Amino acid sequence: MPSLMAAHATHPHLPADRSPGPQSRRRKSDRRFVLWLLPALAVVAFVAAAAFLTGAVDAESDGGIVGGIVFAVGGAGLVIAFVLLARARQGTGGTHLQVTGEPLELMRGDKVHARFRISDAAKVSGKVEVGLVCVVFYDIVQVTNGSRRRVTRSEVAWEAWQTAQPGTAPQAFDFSVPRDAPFSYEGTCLSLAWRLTAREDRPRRRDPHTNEPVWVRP
Amino acid sequence: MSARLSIEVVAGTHRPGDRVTGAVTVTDGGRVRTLTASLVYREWTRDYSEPARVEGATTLASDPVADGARLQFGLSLPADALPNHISARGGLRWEVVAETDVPGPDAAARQPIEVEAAGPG
Repeated sequence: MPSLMAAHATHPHLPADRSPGPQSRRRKSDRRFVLWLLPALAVVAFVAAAAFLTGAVDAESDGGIVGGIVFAVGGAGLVIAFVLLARARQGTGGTHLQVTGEPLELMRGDKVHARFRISDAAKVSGKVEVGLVCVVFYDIVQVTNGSRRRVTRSEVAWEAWQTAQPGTAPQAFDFSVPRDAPFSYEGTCLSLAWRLTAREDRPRRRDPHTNEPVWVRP
Repeated sequence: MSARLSIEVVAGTHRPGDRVTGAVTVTDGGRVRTLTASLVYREWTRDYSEPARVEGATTLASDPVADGARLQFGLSLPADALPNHISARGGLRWEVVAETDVPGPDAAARQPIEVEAAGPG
């Protein structure tokens, strides 16, 4: 059980009792690689800057030109790394939105009863909705400057939304999963993940949201 | 010349636990050493295709097969078989796969089949 709880923490699209498939594990590894690469570039930029400042490298020499390029790349990496880390720490931003459901494992054709609450009405500045959503994760080949790499994209495969009322009173919503809807699946090049979602629509800003994963059997 | 295979499946929609029947026709089969048929649950996207599950591998022939030979098969879908699902970004589906083991490149053929979820109850 501890390993399953750890899997949910690192794969939040899955219920706690479900293990990630090969695609999900690969997506997590890819994210970790980027978060390590960018700080490494930042270190390189720091070294290049230190070389300039201490006069170890002449800015007008060939070595200085290379050092300048290295500094620029590393500096850009440092900025991107800080932005990504800040976003990761921010999470989905929906700490004032709470949603859960019953049951969290169901079959197509069944209903899920969602319970929703706004814990801090002062944080709400947009329209709030509660939804049942299925997301498809699919692998494609991305070609960039002649080089090919495998990337995982995602998009909504099915969704239904209901508008929540303002205020902090508990609210309830029922959603039915159609019999011909997708089912939950953890694959190698294709995965399907269901969730209950509470979201706040903030025009021209990032929409806070919170998710509760659901497992839909065929 | 390498062997060529074609697969015919008895028409109809299958459910978990059903028996899938049909025939594999072999053309230029004189060099075929073995011929097997199996059920494969395949996941695919625009650029990738992966066999997620292989069931019921059956040897249909283990001797040189005459040209035009038609070999019957019967394969059972597992009781916990997931149904097919097709979307704009890819899909999941069951296939009958026939493969030969010949000197040089092996010949293979795939025939998708319709599989839906088990009925309620």
